[in-house]
Amino acid sequence: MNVVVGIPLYVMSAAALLAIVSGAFTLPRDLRRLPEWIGLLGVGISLLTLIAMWDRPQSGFEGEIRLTHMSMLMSGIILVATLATIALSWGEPAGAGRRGEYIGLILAAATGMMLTVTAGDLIVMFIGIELLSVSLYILCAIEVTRERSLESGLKYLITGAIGTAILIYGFALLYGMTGSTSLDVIGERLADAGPLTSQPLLVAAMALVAVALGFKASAVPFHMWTPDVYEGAPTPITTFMSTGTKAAAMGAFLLVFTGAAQGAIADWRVLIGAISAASMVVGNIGALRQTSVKRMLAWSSVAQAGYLLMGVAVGTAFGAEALLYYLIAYLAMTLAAFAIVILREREVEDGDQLEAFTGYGRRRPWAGVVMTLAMLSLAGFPPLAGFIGKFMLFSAAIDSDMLWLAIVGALASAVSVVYYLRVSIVMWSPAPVRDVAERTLRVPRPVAAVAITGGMAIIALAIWAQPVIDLCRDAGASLLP
Amino acid sequence: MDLRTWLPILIYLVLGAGVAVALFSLSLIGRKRPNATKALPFESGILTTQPARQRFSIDFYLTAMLFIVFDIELAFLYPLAVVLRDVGVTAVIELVVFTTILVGALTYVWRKGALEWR
Repeated sequence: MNVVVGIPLYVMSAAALLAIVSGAFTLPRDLRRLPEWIGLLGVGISLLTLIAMWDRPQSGFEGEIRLTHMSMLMSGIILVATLATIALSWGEPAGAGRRGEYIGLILAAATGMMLTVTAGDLIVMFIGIELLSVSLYILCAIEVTRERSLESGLKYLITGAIGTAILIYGFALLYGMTGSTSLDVIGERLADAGPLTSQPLLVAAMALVAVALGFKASAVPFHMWTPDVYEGAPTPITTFMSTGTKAAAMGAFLLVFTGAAQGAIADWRVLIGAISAASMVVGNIGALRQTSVKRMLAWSSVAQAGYLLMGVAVGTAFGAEALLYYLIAYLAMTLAAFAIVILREREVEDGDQLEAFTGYGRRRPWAGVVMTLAMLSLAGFPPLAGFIGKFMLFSAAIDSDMLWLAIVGALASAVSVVYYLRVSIVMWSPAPVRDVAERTLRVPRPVAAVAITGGMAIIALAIWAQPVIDLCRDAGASLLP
Repeated sequence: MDLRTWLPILIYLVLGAGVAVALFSLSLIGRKRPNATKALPFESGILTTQPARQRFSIDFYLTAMLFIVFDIELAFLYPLAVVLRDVGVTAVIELVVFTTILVGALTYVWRKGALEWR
Protein backbone atom coordinates (compact mmCIF):
# COMPACT_ATOMS: atom_id res chain seq x y z
CA MET A 1 0.00 0.00 0.00
CA ASN A 2 1.46 3.30 -1.10
CA VAL A 3 0.65 5.91 1.50
CA VAL A 4 3.00 8.54 0.05
CA VAL A 5 0.45 9.31 -2.64
CA GLY A 6 -1.83 10.98 -0.12
CA ILE A 7 0.68 13.40 1.43
CA PRO A 8 -0.72 16.55 -0.24
CA LEU A 9 -4.16 15.51 1.01
CA TYR A 10 -3.00 14.66 4.55
CA VAL A 11 -1.35 18.06 4.87
CA MET A 12 -4.51 19.84 3.78
CA SER A 13 -6.80 17.83 6.08
CA ALA A 14 -4.48 18.38 9.04
CA ALA A 15 -4.37 22.11 8.31
CA ALA A 16 -8.17 22.21 8.11
CA LEU A 17 -8.56 20.49 11.46
CA LEU A 18 -5.89 22.66 13.12
CA ALA A 19 -7.41 25.87 11.74
CA ILE A 20 -10.89 25.02 13.00
CA VAL A 21 -9.66 24.00 16.45
CA SER A 22 -7.31 26.99 16.74
CA GLY A 23 -10.20 29.31 15.98
CA ALA A 24 -12.11 27.94 18.95
CA PHE A 25 -9.49 29.18 21.40
CA THR A 26 -9.28 32.79 22.50
CA LEU A 27 -6.06 33.79 20.81
CA PRO A 28 -3.77 36.56 22.06
CA ARG A 29 -3.71 39.65 19.88
CA ASP A 30 -0.41 38.79 18.18
CA LEU A 31 -1.77 35.39 17.18
CA ARG A 32 -5.22 36.46 16.05
CA ARG A 33 -4.35 35.58 12.45
CA LEU A 34 -3.28 32.06 13.44
CA PRO A 35 -5.98 30.27 11.37
CA GLU A 36 -4.94 32.22 8.27
CA TRP A 37 -1.27 31.40 8.81
CA ILE A 38 -2.07 27.72 9.37
CA GLY A 39 -4.01 27.83 6.11
CA LEU A 40 -1.22 29.48 4.14
CA LEU A 41 1.33 27.07 5.63
CA GLY A 42 -0.80 24.02 4.85
CA VAL A 43 -1.46 25.09 1.27
CA GLY A 44 2.22 25.97 0.82
CA ILE A 45 3.48 22.60 2.07
CA SER A 46 0.88 20.74 0.04
CA LEU A 47 1.91 22.66 -3.08
CA LEU A 48 5.60 21.92 -2.43
CA THR A 49 4.97 18.18 -2.01
CA LEU A 50 3.05 18.20 -5.29
CA ILE A 51 5.98 19.91 -7.04
CA ALA A 52 8.40 17.41 -5.48
CA MET A 53 6.25 14.51 -6.67
CA TRP A 54 5.70 15.87 -10.18
CA ASP A 55 8.29 13.57 -11.78
CA ARG A 56 6.99 10.49 -10.01
CA PRO A 57 3.33 9.91 -10.91
CA GLN A 58 2.00 7.13 -8.70
CA SER A 59 -1.11 5.61 -7.31
CA GLY A 60 -1.98 4.19 -3.91
CA PHE A 61 -4.73 2.69 -1.77
CA GLU A 62 -5.41 -0.02 -4.40
CA GLY A 63 -5.63 2.59 -7.15
CA GLU A 64 -8.26 4.65 -5.36
CA ILE A 65 -6.03 7.72 -5.16
CA ARG A 66 -3.96 8.49 -8.22
CA LEU A 67 -1.39 11.21 -8.64
CA THR A 68 -1.10 11.47 -12.40
CA HIS A 69 0.19 14.58 -14.12
CA MET A 70 -3.41 15.51 -14.72
CA SER A 71 -4.49 15.20 -11.06
CA MET A 72 -1.32 16.91 -9.84
CA LEU A 73 -1.81 19.88 -12.17
CA MET A 74 -5.48 20.09 -11.19
CA SER A 75 -4.57 19.91 -7.49
CA GLY A 76 -2.02 22.65 -8.08
CA ILE A 77 -4.68 24.87 -9.67
CA ILE A 78 -7.00 24.21 -6.72
CA LEU A 79 -4.24 24.98 -4.21
CA VAL A 80 -3.42 28.28 -5.92
CA ALA A 81 -7.11 29.15 -5.84
CA THR A 82 -7.17 28.31 -2.11
CA LEU A 83 -4.09 30.40 -1.44
CA ALA A 84 -5.66 33.36 -3.22
CA THR A 85 -8.94 32.87 -1.38
CA ILE A 86 -7.20 33.01 1.99
CA ALA A 87 -5.36 36.15 0.89
CA LEU A 88 -8.59 37.73 -0.36
CA SER A 89 -10.24 36.86 2.97
CA TRP A 90 -7.60 38.79 4.91
CA GLY A 91 -9.63 41.08 7.17
CA GLU A 92 -12.85 40.08 5.42
CA PRO A 93 -15.75 41.27 7.57
CA ALA A 94 -17.80 38.18 6.65
CA GLY A 95 -15.74 35.81 8.77
CA ALA A 96 -15.30 38.10 11.77
CA GLY A 97 -15.60 36.22 15.05
CA ARG A 98 -15.39 32.85 13.35
CA ARG A 99 -12.06 32.94 11.56
CA GLY A 100 -11.24 29.36 12.53
CA GLU A 101 -14.35 27.92 10.90
CA TYR A 102 -14.03 30.24 7.93
CA ILE A 103 -10.44 29.28 7.08
CA GLY A 104 -10.85 25.68 8.21
CA LEU A 105 -13.84 25.13 5.94
CA ILE A 106 -12.01 26.70 3.00
CA LEU A 107 -9.22 24.20 3.60
CA ALA A 108 -11.69 21.33 3.99
CA ALA A 109 -13.38 22.31 0.74
CA ALA A 110 -9.97 22.44 -0.96
CA THR A 111 -9.22 18.95 0.38
CA GLY A 112 -12.49 17.75 -1.11
CA MET A 113 -11.68 19.36 -4.46
CA MET A 114 -8.25 17.70 -4.51
CA LEU A 115 -9.79 14.37 -3.56
CA THR A 116 -12.26 14.72 -6.44
CA VAL A 117 -9.56 15.23 -9.04
CA THR A 118 -7.17 12.59 -7.65
CA ALA A 119 -9.87 9.92 -7.37
CA GLY A 120 -9.42 6.62 -9.15
CA ASP A 121 -12.71 5.33 -7.84
CA LEU A 122 -16.29 6.53 -7.94
CA ILE A 123 -16.71 6.38 -4.16
CA VAL A 124 -13.60 8.45 -3.48
CA MET A 125 -14.76 10.97 -6.08
CA PHE A 126 -18.16 11.13 -4.42
CA ILE A 127 -16.64 11.72 -0.98
CA GLY A 128 -14.52 14.50 -2.46
CA ILE A 129 -17.50 16.18 -4.09
CA GLU A 130 -19.51 15.89 -0.87
CA LEU A 131 -16.69 17.31 1.25
CA LEU A 132 -16.34 20.33 -1.01
CA SER A 133 -20.11 20.85 -1.29
CA VAL A 134 -20.91 20.60 2.43
CA SER A 135 -18.06 22.94 3.34
CA LEU A 136 -19.22 25.46 0.76
CA TYR A 137 -22.85 25.34 1.91
CA ILE A 138 -21.69 26.58 5.30
CA LEU A 139 -19.23 29.08 3.86
CA CYS A 140 -21.95 30.67 1.70
CA ALA A 141 -24.11 31.21 4.77
CA ILE A 142 -21.28 32.17 7.14
CA GLU A 143 -22.45 35.77 7.34
CA VAL A 144 -25.36 34.70 9.54
CA THR A 145 -26.61 38.23 10.17
CA ARG A 146 -26.98 39.08 6.48
CA GLU A 147 -30.10 37.74 4.81
CA ARG A 148 -28.58 37.45 1.34
CA SER A 149 -25.80 35.26 2.66
CA LEU A 150 -28.27 32.91 4.35
CA GLU A 151 -30.38 32.84 1.19
CA SER A 152 -27.29 31.97 -0.81
CA GLY A 153 -26.37 29.13 1.55
CA LEU A 154 -29.89 27.70 1.56
CA LYS A 155 -30.25 27.85 -2.22
CA TYR A 156 -26.88 26.21 -2.68
CA LEU A 157 -27.77 23.53 -0.13
CA ILE A 158 -31.05 22.62 -1.82
CA THR A 159 -29.82 22.60 -5.41
CA GLY A 160 -26.56 21.02 -4.32
CA ALA A 161 -28.35 18.23 -2.48
CA ILE A 162 -30.42 17.49 -5.58
CA GLY A 163 -27.26 17.45 -7.65
CA THR A 164 -25.64 15.05 -5.20
CA ALA A 165 -28.67 12.74 -5.26
CA ILE A 166 -28.54 12.62 -9.05
CA LEU A 167 -24.79 11.99 -8.93
CA ILE A 168 -25.02 9.05 -6.55
CA TYR A 169 -27.86 7.60 -8.61
CA GLY A 170 -25.74 7.82 -11.74
CA PHE A 171 -22.77 6.26 -9.96
CA ALA A 172 -25.00 3.47 -8.63
CA LEU A 173 -26.26 2.65 -12.12
CA LEU A 174 -22.72 2.77 -13.47
CA TYR A 175 -21.66 0.34 -10.77
CA GLY A 176 -24.67 -1.85 -11.42
CA MET A 177 -23.92 -2.08 -15.12
CA THR A 178 -20.15 -2.56 -14.91
CA GLY A 179 -19.78 -4.35 -11.57
CA SER A 180 -17.04 -2.06 -10.30
CA THR A 181 -16.52 1.39 -8.81
CA SER A 182 -12.96 1.61 -10.12
CA LEU A 183 -12.64 4.08 -12.98
CA ASP A 184 -10.15 1.81 -14.76
CA VAL A 185 -12.42 -1.25 -14.65
CA ILE A 186 -15.43 0.85 -15.67
CA GLY A 187 -13.37 2.10 -18.60
CA GLU A 188 -12.59 -1.45 -19.74
CA ARG A 189 -16.18 -2.60 -19.40
CA LEU A 190 -17.52 0.43 -21.25
CA ALA A 191 -15.05 -0.15 -24.07
CA ASP A 192 -16.25 -3.77 -24.38
CA ALA A 193 -19.91 -2.87 -24.09
CA GLY A 194 -20.25 -1.73 -27.69
CA PRO A 195 -22.60 1.12 -28.55
CA LEU A 196 -24.30 2.44 -25.43
CA THR A 197 -27.62 2.88 -27.19
CA SER A 198 -28.13 -0.88 -26.94
CA GLN A 199 -27.98 -0.56 -23.12
CA PRO A 200 -30.48 2.01 -21.87
CA LEU A 201 -29.24 1.79 -18.27
CA LEU A 202 -25.71 2.76 -19.25
CA VAL A 203 -27.12 5.68 -21.21
CA ALA A 204 -29.10 6.70 -18.13
CA ALA A 205 -26.02 6.35 -15.92
CA MET A 206 -23.84 8.55 -18.14
CA ALA A 207 -26.64 11.11 -18.50
CA LEU A 208 -27.22 11.30 -14.74
CA VAL A 209 -23.51 11.74 -14.06
CA ALA A 210 -23.33 14.47 -16.72
CA VAL A 211 -26.31 16.26 -15.15
CA ALA A 212 -24.90 16.07 -11.62
CA LEU A 213 -21.43 17.26 -12.59
CA GLY A 214 -23.12 19.95 -14.67
CA PHE A 215 -24.78 21.13 -11.45
CA LYS A 216 -21.42 21.45 -9.72
CA ALA A 217 -19.82 23.15 -12.71
CA SER A 218 -22.91 25.40 -13.07
CA ALA A 219 -23.41 24.52 -16.73
CA VAL A 220 -26.69 25.28 -18.51
CA PRO A 221 -29.41 24.07 -17.90
CA PHE A 222 -28.25 23.34 -14.34
CA HIS A 223 -27.05 26.87 -13.67
CA MET A 224 -30.19 28.42 -12.12
CA TRP A 225 -28.66 28.62 -8.66
CA THR A 226 -25.43 30.24 -9.77
CA PRO A 227 -26.30 33.98 -9.98
CA ASP A 228 -28.14 34.07 -6.64
CA VAL A 229 -25.64 31.93 -4.75
CA TYR A 230 -22.62 33.75 -6.18
CA GLU A 231 -24.15 37.15 -5.45
CA GLY A 232 -25.23 36.35 -1.90
CA ALA A 233 -22.09 34.57 -0.69
CA PRO A 234 -19.19 36.58 0.76
CA THR A 235 -17.12 37.66 -2.26
CA PRO A 236 -13.94 35.69 -1.37
CA ILE A 237 -16.10 32.57 -1.18
CA THR A 238 -17.65 33.42 -4.55
CA THR A 239 -14.13 33.64 -5.93
CA PHE A 240 -13.31 30.27 -4.44
CA MET A 241 -16.45 28.69 -5.88
CA SER A 242 -15.91 30.04 -9.35
CA THR A 243 -12.27 28.90 -9.45
CA GLY A 244 -11.85 25.88 -7.16
CA THR A 245 -15.23 24.22 -7.59
CA LYS A 246 -15.09 24.81 -11.31
CA ALA A 247 -11.67 23.15 -11.46
CA ALA A 248 -12.84 20.19 -9.37
CA ALA A 249 -15.97 19.70 -11.49
CA MET A 250 -13.94 19.89 -14.69
CA GLY A 251 -11.48 17.38 -13.22
CA ALA A 252 -14.36 15.01 -12.48
CA PHE A 253 -15.74 15.51 -16.00
CA LEU A 254 -12.33 14.68 -17.49
CA LEU A 255 -11.83 11.61 -15.27
CA VAL A 256 -15.28 10.13 -15.89
CA PHE A 257 -15.90 11.08 -19.52
CA THR A 258 -12.61 11.66 -21.35
CA GLY A 259 -10.84 9.10 -19.15
CA ALA A 260 -13.09 6.22 -18.10
CA ALA A 261 -15.83 6.51 -20.73
CA GLN A 262 -13.37 6.96 -23.61
CA GLY A 263 -14.64 3.73 -25.18
CA ALA A 264 -18.15 5.14 -25.47
CA ILE A 265 -17.10 8.56 -26.72
CA ALA A 266 -19.41 8.51 -29.73
CA ASP A 267 -22.40 8.28 -27.41
CA TRP A 268 -21.72 11.16 -25.04
CA ARG A 269 -19.80 13.76 -27.02
CA VAL A 270 -22.94 15.29 -28.51
CA LEU A 271 -24.55 15.46 -25.05
CA ILE A 272 -21.57 17.28 -23.49
CA GLY A 273 -21.24 19.39 -26.63
CA ALA A 274 -24.86 20.49 -26.29
CA ILE A 275 -24.40 21.37 -22.60
CA SER A 276 -21.29 23.32 -23.53
CA ALA A 277 -22.99 25.23 -26.35
CA ALA A 278 -26.04 26.01 -24.19
CA SER A 279 -23.82 27.28 -21.36
CA MET A 280 -21.89 29.60 -23.66
CA VAL A 281 -25.05 31.07 -25.19
CA VAL A 282 -27.19 31.38 -22.05
CA GLY A 283 -24.32 32.49 -19.80
CA ASN A 284 -23.23 35.29 -22.07
CA ILE A 285 -26.76 36.51 -22.77
CA GLY A 286 -27.58 36.36 -19.05
CA ALA A 287 -24.56 38.49 -18.21
CA LEU A 288 -25.54 41.25 -20.63
CA ARG A 289 -28.14 42.93 -18.44
CA GLN A 290 -26.55 42.67 -15.01
CA THR A 291 -25.93 45.84 -13.01
CA SER A 292 -23.92 44.14 -10.28
CA VAL A 293 -20.39 43.22 -11.32
CA LYS A 294 -20.48 40.26 -8.94
CA ARG A 295 -23.66 38.92 -10.55
CA MET A 296 -22.26 39.59 -14.00
CA LEU A 297 -19.17 37.56 -13.11
CA ALA A 298 -21.48 34.77 -11.90
CA TRP A 299 -23.20 34.65 -15.29
CA SER A 300 -19.83 34.92 -16.96
CA SER A 301 -18.68 31.90 -14.96
CA VAL A 302 -21.62 29.96 -16.42
CA ALA A 303 -20.41 30.92 -19.88
CA GLN A 304 -16.82 30.04 -18.96
CA ALA A 305 -18.03 26.59 -17.83
CA GLY A 306 -19.33 26.24 -21.38
CA TYR A 307 -15.94 27.08 -22.93
CA LEU A 308 -14.22 24.67 -20.54
CA LEU A 309 -16.69 21.87 -21.30
CA MET A 310 -15.73 22.17 -24.95
CA GLY A 311 -12.46 20.51 -23.93
CA VAL A 312 -14.43 17.62 -22.42
CA ALA A 313 -16.85 17.32 -25.33
CA VAL A 314 -14.08 16.63 -27.84
CA GLY A 315 -12.87 13.77 -25.64
CA THR A 316 -9.25 13.86 -26.80
CA ALA A 317 -5.96 14.43 -25.00
CA PHE A 318 -5.66 17.71 -26.90
CA GLY A 319 -9.08 18.70 -25.58
CA ALA A 320 -7.94 18.04 -22.02
CA GLU A 321 -4.74 19.99 -22.67
CA ALA A 322 -6.71 22.98 -23.97
CA LEU A 323 -9.13 22.75 -21.03
CA LEU A 324 -6.28 22.75 -18.52
CA TYR A 325 -4.56 25.73 -20.13
CA TYR A 326 -7.81 27.65 -20.25
CA LEU A 327 -8.49 26.69 -16.63
CA ILE A 328 -5.15 28.17 -15.57
CA ALA A 329 -5.83 31.34 -17.58
CA TYR A 330 -9.37 31.46 -16.17
CA LEU A 331 -7.96 31.18 -12.65
CA ALA A 332 -5.73 34.23 -13.23
CA MET A 333 -8.47 36.36 -14.81
CA THR A 334 -11.15 35.45 -12.27
CA LEU A 335 -8.87 36.07 -9.30
CA ALA A 336 -7.84 39.45 -10.72
CA ALA A 337 -11.42 40.52 -11.44
CA PHE A 338 -12.83 39.40 -8.09
CA ALA A 339 -9.91 40.93 -6.19
CA ILE A 340 -10.84 44.34 -7.61
CA VAL A 341 -14.51 43.79 -6.72
CA ILE A 342 -13.49 42.86 -3.15
CA LEU A 343 -11.29 45.95 -2.98
CA ARG A 344 -14.21 48.16 -3.97
CA GLU A 345 -16.60 46.37 -1.61
CA ARG A 346 -14.31 47.07 1.33
CA GLU A 347 -14.33 50.77 0.43
CA VAL A 348 -17.98 51.57 -0.23
CA GLU A 349 -21.36 50.07 0.43
CA ASP A 350 -22.80 48.20 -2.56
CA GLY A 351 -19.30 48.14 -3.97
CA ASP A 352 -20.25 45.34 -6.32
CA GLN A 353 -22.59 47.59 -8.30
CA LEU A 354 -21.38 48.83 -11.65
CA GLU A 355 -21.92 52.50 -10.64
CA ALA A 356 -19.49 52.06 -7.74
CA PHE A 357 -16.75 51.55 -10.32
CA THR A 358 -17.36 54.82 -12.14
CA GLY A 359 -13.98 56.48 -12.50
CA TYR A 360 -12.31 53.97 -10.21
CA GLY A 361 -9.56 53.43 -12.74
CA ARG A 362 -8.61 57.10 -12.63
CA ARG A 363 -8.42 57.03 -8.87
CA ARG A 364 -6.44 53.81 -8.56
CA PRO A 365 -4.82 53.34 -11.96
CA TRP A 366 -3.25 49.99 -11.06
CA ALA A 367 -6.67 48.59 -10.13
CA GLY A 368 -8.09 49.93 -13.37
CA VAL A 369 -5.31 48.31 -15.38
CA VAL A 370 -5.75 44.94 -13.63
CA MET A 371 -9.53 44.97 -14.10
CA THR A 372 -9.20 45.99 -17.75
CA LEU A 373 -6.68 43.21 -18.35
CA ALA A 374 -8.97 40.68 -16.69
CA MET A 375 -11.99 41.83 -18.70
CA LEU A 376 -10.11 41.87 -22.01
CA SER A 377 -8.71 38.43 -21.28
CA LEU A 378 -12.11 37.02 -20.27
CA ALA A 379 -13.56 38.42 -23.50
CA GLY A 380 -10.75 36.67 -25.38
CA PHE A 381 -8.79 39.59 -26.81
CA PRO A 382 -5.44 38.65 -28.32
CA PRO A 383 -2.71 38.37 -27.21
CA LEU A 384 -3.82 37.75 -23.60
CA ALA A 385 -4.03 34.37 -21.85
CA GLY A 386 -7.78 34.06 -22.34
CA PHE A 387 -7.34 34.35 -26.10
CA ILE A 388 -4.74 31.60 -26.24
CA GLY A 389 -6.94 29.33 -24.13
CA LYS A 390 -10.00 29.92 -26.28
CA PHE A 391 -7.94 29.48 -29.42
CA MET A 392 -6.74 26.09 -28.17
CA LEU A 393 -10.27 25.01 -27.20
CA PHE A 394 -11.70 26.07 -30.55
CA SER A 395 -8.96 24.27 -32.46
CA ALA A 396 -9.51 21.17 -30.34
CA ALA A 397 -13.18 21.29 -31.33
CA ILE A 398 -12.36 21.75 -35.03
CA ASP A 399 -9.79 18.93 -34.90
CA SER A 400 -12.48 16.56 -33.64
CA ASP A 401 -15.03 17.51 -36.29
CA MET A 402 -17.07 19.66 -33.93
CA LEU A 403 -16.90 22.78 -36.04
CA TRP A 404 -20.42 23.77 -35.00
CA LEU A 405 -19.32 23.94 -31.35
CA ALA A 406 -16.40 26.21 -32.23
CA ILE A 407 -18.75 28.48 -34.21
CA VAL A 408 -21.20 28.73 -31.31
CA GLY A 409 -18.26 29.49 -29.02
CA ALA A 410 -16.92 32.22 -31.27
CA LEU A 411 -20.33 33.86 -31.64
CA ALA A 412 -20.93 33.69 -27.88
CA SER A 413 -17.52 35.31 -27.25
CA ALA A 414 -18.47 38.12 -29.58
CA VAL A 415 -21.56 38.78 -27.45
CA SER A 416 -19.50 38.68 -24.26
CA VAL A 417 -17.31 41.56 -25.45
CA VAL A 418 -20.22 43.91 -24.77
CA TYR A 419 -20.50 43.36 -21.04
CA TYR A 420 -16.84 42.78 -20.33
CA LEU A 421 -15.83 45.98 -22.05
CA ARG A 422 -18.62 47.93 -20.34
CA VAL A 423 -16.85 47.39 -17.01
CA SER A 424 -13.56 48.69 -18.42
CA ILE A 425 -15.26 51.71 -19.99
CA VAL A 426 -17.05 52.57 -16.75
CA MET A 427 -13.78 52.31 -14.84
CA TRP A 428 -12.01 54.83 -17.04
CA SER A 429 -14.89 57.28 -17.42
CA PRO A 430 -14.73 60.64 -15.58
CA ALA A 431 -14.90 60.18 -11.83
CA PRO A 432 -17.69 61.61 -9.68
CA VAL A 433 -16.88 63.85 -6.75
CA ARG A 434 -15.94 61.58 -3.89
CA ASP A 435 -16.32 62.25 -0.21
CA VAL A 436 -13.52 62.69 2.26
CA ALA A 437 -14.03 59.38 4.02
CA GLU A 438 -13.42 57.44 0.86
CA ARG A 439 -10.15 59.20 0.09
CA THR A 440 -8.47 58.15 3.31
CA LEU A 441 -9.08 54.42 2.86
CA ARG A 442 -6.13 52.09 2.89
CA VAL A 443 -5.75 49.29 0.38
CA PRO A 444 -5.70 45.85 2.04
CA ARG A 445 -2.31 44.54 0.93
CA PRO A 446 -3.10 40.82 0.45
CA VAL A 447 -6.08 41.71 -1.76
CA ALA A 448 -3.94 44.07 -3.82
CA ALA A 449 -1.27 41.36 -4.07
CA VAL A 450 -3.77 38.87 -5.50
CA ALA A 451 -5.06 41.46 -7.96
CA ILE A 452 -1.61 42.41 -9.21
CA THR A 453 -0.37 38.81 -9.34
CA GLY A 454 -3.48 37.85 -11.29
CA GLY A 455 -3.00 40.74 -13.68
CA MET A 456 0.64 39.86 -14.24
CA ALA A 457 -0.24 36.20 -14.70
CA ILE A 458 -2.68 37.12 -17.48
CA ILE A 459 0.22 38.65 -19.40
CA ALA A 460 2.84 36.10 -18.29
CA LEU A 461 0.67 33.14 -19.32
CA ALA A 462 0.50 34.65 -22.79
CA ILE A 463 4.19 35.53 -23.12
CA TRP A 464 5.49 32.27 -21.68
CA ALA A 465 2.58 30.19 -22.93
CA GLN A 466 4.72 27.34 -24.25
CA PRO A 467 6.05 25.97 -20.93
CA VAL A 468 2.53 26.05 -19.48
CA ILE A 469 1.10 24.37 -22.57
CA ASP A 470 3.80 21.68 -22.25
CA LEU A 471 2.72 21.05 -18.65
CA CYS A 472 -0.89 20.80 -19.78
CA ARG A 473 0.11 18.45 -22.60
CA ASP A 474 1.77 16.08 -20.10
CA ALA A 475 -1.32 16.26 -17.96
CA GLY A 476 -3.71 15.72 -20.87
CA ALA A 477 -1.69 12.75 -22.09
CA SER A 478 -1.74 11.13 -18.64
CA LEU A 479 -5.52 11.04 -18.77
CA LEU A 480 -5.66 8.53 -21.59
CA PRO A 481 -3.88 5.18 -21.48
CA MET B 1 -40.19 -13.40 -16.64
CA ASP B 2 -43.21 -15.47 -15.69
CA LEU B 3 -45.91 -13.04 -14.72
CA ARG B 4 -47.82 -15.75 -12.82
CA THR B 5 -45.39 -15.46 -9.90
CA TRP B 6 -46.84 -12.00 -9.35
CA LEU B 7 -50.44 -13.27 -9.21
CA PRO B 8 -50.67 -13.32 -5.36
CA ILE B 9 -49.68 -9.66 -5.29
CA LEU B 10 -52.37 -8.82 -7.83
CA ILE B 11 -55.00 -10.69 -5.77
CA TYR B 12 -53.78 -8.89 -2.66
CA LEU B 13 -54.07 -5.50 -4.38
CA VAL B 14 -57.56 -6.25 -5.71
CA LEU B 15 -58.79 -7.43 -2.30
CA GLY B 16 -57.27 -4.41 -0.56
CA ALA B 17 -58.81 -1.98 -3.06
CA GLY B 18 -62.12 -3.86 -2.74
CA VAL B 19 -62.24 -3.40 1.03
CA ALA B 20 -61.45 0.30 0.70
CA VAL B 21 -64.07 0.83 -2.00
CA ALA B 22 -66.66 -1.12 0.07
CA LEU B 23 -66.02 0.95 3.19
CA PHE B 24 -66.12 4.21 1.27
CA SER B 25 -69.35 3.37 -0.60
CA LEU B 26 -71.04 2.15 2.62
CA SER B 27 -70.25 5.51 4.21
CA LEU B 28 -72.09 7.20 1.34
CA ILE B 29 -75.29 5.22 1.86
CA GLY B 30 -75.47 5.24 5.67
CA ARG B 31 -76.93 7.93 7.97
CA LYS B 32 -74.51 10.19 9.84
CA ARG B 33 -74.89 11.08 13.53
CA PRO B 34 -71.67 12.92 14.47
CA ASN B 35 -70.81 13.51 18.11
CA ALA B 36 -67.71 14.57 20.08
CA THR B 37 -66.49 11.08 20.92
CA LYS B 38 -66.66 9.96 17.29
CA ALA B 39 -64.47 12.92 16.27
CA LEU B 40 -61.62 11.69 18.46
CA PRO B 41 -58.77 9.73 16.87
CA PHE B 42 -59.73 6.06 17.25
CA GLU B 43 -57.10 3.85 18.91
CA SER B 44 -54.27 6.13 17.82
CA GLY B 45 -52.42 6.87 21.00
CA ILE B 46 -52.80 9.51 23.67
CA LEU B 47 -55.21 12.36 23.03
CA THR B 48 -53.50 15.65 22.28
CA THR B 49 -53.85 18.34 24.90
CA GLN B 50 -51.97 21.26 23.33
CA PRO B 51 -50.34 22.23 20.00
CA ALA B 52 -47.21 20.19 19.29
CA ARG B 53 -45.33 23.11 17.72
CA GLN B 54 -43.72 24.57 20.77
CA ARG B 55 -40.39 26.30 21.08
CA PHE B 56 -37.72 24.17 22.68
CA SER B 57 -34.41 25.33 24.03
CA ILE B 58 -31.72 25.04 21.31
CA ASP B 59 -29.64 23.09 23.85
CA PHE B 60 -31.82 20.03 23.30
CA TYR B 61 -30.99 20.01 19.61
CA LEU B 62 -27.33 20.72 20.23
CA THR B 63 -26.94 17.96 22.79
CA ALA B 64 -28.90 15.46 20.70
CA MET B 65 -26.92 16.34 17.58
CA LEU B 66 -23.56 16.07 19.31
CA PHE B 67 -24.60 12.78 20.89
CA ILE B 68 -25.53 11.31 17.52
CA VAL B 69 -22.35 12.57 15.85
CA PHE B 70 -20.02 11.13 18.46
CA ASP B 71 -22.11 7.99 18.90
CA ILE B 72 -21.89 7.17 15.20
CA GLU B 73 -18.18 7.93 15.11
CA LEU B 74 -17.69 5.46 17.96
CA ALA B 75 -19.77 2.88 16.11
CA PHE B 76 -17.13 3.04 13.37
CA LEU B 77 -14.52 1.82 15.84
CA TYR B 78 -16.23 -1.54 16.44
CA PRO B 79 -15.70 -3.02 12.94
CA LEU B 80 -12.10 -1.90 13.16
CA ALA B 81 -11.70 -3.72 16.47
CA VAL B 82 -12.97 -6.93 14.88
CA VAL B 83 -10.43 -6.91 12.04
CA LEU B 84 -7.59 -5.37 14.05
CA ARG B 85 -5.52 -8.58 14.19
CA ASP B 86 -5.88 -9.28 10.45
CA VAL B 87 -5.05 -5.79 9.24
CA GLY B 88 -2.31 -5.16 11.76
CA VAL B 89 -0.34 -1.94 12.16
CA THR B 90 -2.23 -0.12 9.41
CA ALA B 91 -5.45 -0.47 11.35
CA VAL B 92 -3.84 0.88 14.52
CA ILE B 93 -2.49 3.90 12.65
CA GLU B 94 -5.87 4.57 11.08
CA LEU B 95 -7.48 4.18 14.47
CA VAL B 96 -5.13 6.76 15.97
CA VAL B 97 -5.69 9.21 13.08
CA PHE B 98 -9.45 8.82 13.34
CA THR B 99 -9.45 9.28 17.09
CA THR B 100 -7.21 12.34 16.79
CA ILE B 101 -9.76 13.94 14.48
CA LEU B 102 -12.48 13.08 17.00
CA VAL B 103 -10.48 14.62 19.83
CA GLY B 104 -10.03 17.74 17.69
CA ALA B 105 -13.78 17.89 17.15
CA LEU B 106 -14.44 17.37 20.85
CA THR B 107 -11.99 20.15 21.74
CA TYR B 108 -13.77 22.45 19.30
CA VAL B 109 -17.19 21.58 20.74
CA TRP B 110 -15.93 22.08 24.28
CA ARG B 111 -14.23 25.43 23.57
CA LYS B 112 -17.28 26.71 21.72
CA GLY B 113 -19.31 26.04 24.88
CA ALA B 114 -21.66 23.61 23.23
CA LEU B 115 -21.38 21.27 26.21
CA GLU B 116 -22.67 23.85 28.71
CA TRP B 117 -26.35 23.92 29.50
CA ARG B 118 -27.57 27.50 29.41
